[in-house]
Amino acid sequence: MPAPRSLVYDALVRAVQHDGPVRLIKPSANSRAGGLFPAAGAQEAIREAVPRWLQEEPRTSNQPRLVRLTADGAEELLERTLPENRASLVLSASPLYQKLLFVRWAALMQRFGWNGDRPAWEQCGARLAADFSAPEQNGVVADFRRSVAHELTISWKHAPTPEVREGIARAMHGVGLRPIGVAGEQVTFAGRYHVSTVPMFPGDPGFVVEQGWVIHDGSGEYLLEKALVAPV
Amino acid sequence: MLPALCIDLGSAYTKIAFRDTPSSQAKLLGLEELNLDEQHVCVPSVAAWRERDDRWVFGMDAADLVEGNGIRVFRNWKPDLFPAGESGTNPWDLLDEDPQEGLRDAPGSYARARNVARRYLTWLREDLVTRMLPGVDLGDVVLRLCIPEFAMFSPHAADIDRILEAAGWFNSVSFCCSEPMANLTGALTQGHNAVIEPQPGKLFANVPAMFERSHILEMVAAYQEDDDADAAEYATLIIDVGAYTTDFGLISIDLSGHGFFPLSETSSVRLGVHELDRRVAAALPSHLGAAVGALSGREWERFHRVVYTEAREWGLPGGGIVGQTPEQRATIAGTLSKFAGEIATAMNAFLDEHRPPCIQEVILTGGGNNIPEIARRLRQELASRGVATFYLPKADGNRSGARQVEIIAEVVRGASAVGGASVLFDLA
Repeated sequence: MPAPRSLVYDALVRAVQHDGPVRLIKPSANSRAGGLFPAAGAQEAIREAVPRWLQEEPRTSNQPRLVRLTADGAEELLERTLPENRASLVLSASPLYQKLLFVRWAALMQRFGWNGDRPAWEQCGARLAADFSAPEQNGVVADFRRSVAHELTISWKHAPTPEVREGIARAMHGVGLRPIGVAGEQVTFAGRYHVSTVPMFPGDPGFVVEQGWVIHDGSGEYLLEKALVAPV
Repeated sequence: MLPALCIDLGSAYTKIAFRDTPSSQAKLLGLEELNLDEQHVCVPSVAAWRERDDRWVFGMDAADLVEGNGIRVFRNWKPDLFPAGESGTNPWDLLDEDPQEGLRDAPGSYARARNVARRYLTWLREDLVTRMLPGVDLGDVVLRLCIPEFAMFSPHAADIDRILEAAGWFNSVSFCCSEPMANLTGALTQGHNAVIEPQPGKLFANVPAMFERSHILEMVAAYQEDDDADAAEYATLIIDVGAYTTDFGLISIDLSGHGFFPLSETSSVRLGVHELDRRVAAALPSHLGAAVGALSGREWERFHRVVYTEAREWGLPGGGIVGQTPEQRATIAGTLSKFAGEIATAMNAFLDEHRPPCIQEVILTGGGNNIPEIARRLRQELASRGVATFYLPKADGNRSGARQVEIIAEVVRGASAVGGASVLFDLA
């Protein structure tokens, strides 16, 4: 399948990667500012993109036309991007794009969160795994991945049914989260990985009631949720 | 000159920075096991004691322990080290006559905080920092400990010196330094150090070289070249909204041709994000407020991000949603707004006291400035002062007015520790 390239697609990508207002048409040669559309074919492409996917900035008549990506534009971009390219695009994305993904996840929570429709959760979990997972690039810390991991962990923790929880857990495995312990496992209580609802001290014997989660990335291990442990 | 280590003993987290030589960069020290933040530098300022076998654990091992069955967990004890209106301790009281002095007291006890501080600082020296700096003899390291500005010249600062000595951090040139001053230095130098040695053995801080990575020097130069400039001073204001205090710092540079001599004013007020949390919990319906009040430290951090920063709903463990109704969202927004207004009022009082003729740059740091409403309110209050640049954790979408520059993550989180290890404090 060929890459979905078009003037509009290229414009949306540039708008995301620039993360700020960009000039609508190709600027003059001596201007430093980048533009979204080359002069040829610009009018047609602009008609398609504005105002649905690109929003014009307020301006006075003698100022250049500047645009920003809209939420619909970010959504359009997500859909037009091939799965194998999606993750790197997401990681280079603007706050708007990241917010969009969180909104989408919240909407899925709203839609599926109360009926325990496991296949639906698995479907959205697989999509999240595709959207969010990407290898670390040059050791750069992907703060965004941690934010996503936090969102997933919160969703998992508050899942209304075991089935939904398992569906979210699949998504968590898909984005590289690793569990701390297994329910029922005998452990020596370690405060840095375990938490309990009753007084326990490091070194006490216990067993895992509910697993925890960590994520490993370029900077090492990052704790998301400690495992819940009870005394033996 | 000896290497320098600075401990920024935060109410929630401790950060530690180290500078090896006079001209090397001060950097935050990290360990893989400190897995609460992306830089692995945040040490929970928590200690726990089990009376039965007199065992102590600290930091990550103690952070989420539950009290009871003879287990005592000491959190947020730092403010108790600097009680208002009390004199310092008789030095004889620190001679280990009762190693458990104050440990059974309720929170708020000065004796309790002092005892915990000594044990925590001992653990830092004998365990954590030793592993952070393998091969470094800590006896040959100068220690600085950041303390609030209001405590700098109080009897409690002298007590801190005694506690450090009792904890083994003995070095005759170690001392406490002012949190806002250290923060300001860290934010503007980003940990860079430089010295000049005009005569053998005579070292001076190369201040312009240290500050060249901030915009401050180019802004000073541009200001000096501006024929219309009508103010003799160039000033940067730093506002650090922390967990328990908000620190203000003002660095002023004389532009009248007498060289680069920074003059600083600093102040701390007892108003921080924990107070905001308390008010929000109190404003919520009682069942939600009780559940919010019981959140762990890590859950609070998420709560801050979701509820304060992103203004979204927050599902509580065991049911209940914060911010589910418009009324609740309005209540939270109103509480946030009132709190931000109080921070702004404190800032205005600080500015009224020191009356800078102008403020060209403002640095907004500390966890509180991650909350958009606080940063927005402070910028709004400063709008009439002609500020050219705001340095802040996260720029917002408002493109009008002053330029916004996002601060590098390491400086946002550890500016005080990095600044406290600066060579400026040795050679000032």
